[in-house]
Amino acid sequence: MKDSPEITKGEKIQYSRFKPEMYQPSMSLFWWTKRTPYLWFILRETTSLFVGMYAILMLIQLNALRRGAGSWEALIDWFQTPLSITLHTVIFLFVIFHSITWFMLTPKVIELRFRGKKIPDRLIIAGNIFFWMMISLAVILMII
Amino acid sequence: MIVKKKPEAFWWSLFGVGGTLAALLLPVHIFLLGIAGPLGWIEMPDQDTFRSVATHPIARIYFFCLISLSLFHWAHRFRHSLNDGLMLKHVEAYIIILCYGTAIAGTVLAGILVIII
Repeated sequence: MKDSPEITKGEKIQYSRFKPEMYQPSMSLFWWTKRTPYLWFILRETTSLFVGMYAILMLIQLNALRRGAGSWEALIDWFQTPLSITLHTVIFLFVIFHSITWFMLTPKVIELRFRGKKIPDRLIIAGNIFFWMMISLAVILMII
Repeated sequence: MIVKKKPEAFWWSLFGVGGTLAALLLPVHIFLLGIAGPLGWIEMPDQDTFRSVATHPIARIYFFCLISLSLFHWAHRFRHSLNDGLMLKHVEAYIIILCYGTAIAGTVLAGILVIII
């Protein structure tokens, strides 16, 4: 099997794991802009970037809290700038999109049964969204 | 039959828990602290009040889990987006180190911050 003559032909052919020398189909880097469902898919995956960004912002908040009143006030002042409000609004919209798509995916990942009958997908999605609303309301009531 | 344990299952479980926590909790956090507070719809908490809330043992665990798992959610999903969306599978090793490395570093930082806050 080693040194198969019809493949090597005396030349040094470099094989890599994902791009074989002999077969390189061309595909646009922007394949996901070609069809709407692809675009939704990439948009859904991109929400993770904003989830990560907010995790970093939470680290910044905790650090400002730790450093004292001065640092916290400075952060609050920055939060009131149009740049920050715009940034937070964009993050908010993407994270809302993440929440909705995530709750809609749940019935595809887990199949819940009650007395042998499959619980309808819609009921699981509605339950998720209801739970999400209750938690959000609880946090709002705790803060205000 | 030999079942080989793949690391994918481990990262996927962190991705799953992180995605759920982020979906449930992040919108209300971002809305209150990033939008409603700065626009004056609600009063922003001062450092003393917020710190006394954040130093409660449950709040420490809460912030640690929320930050860390959100980062692992990002790491796993972003890694696969780069692989599939931008077809960067040939530099997969670097992407894995970058994504999970960032999440691990963030987790360590979150752990330190919730302890010393």
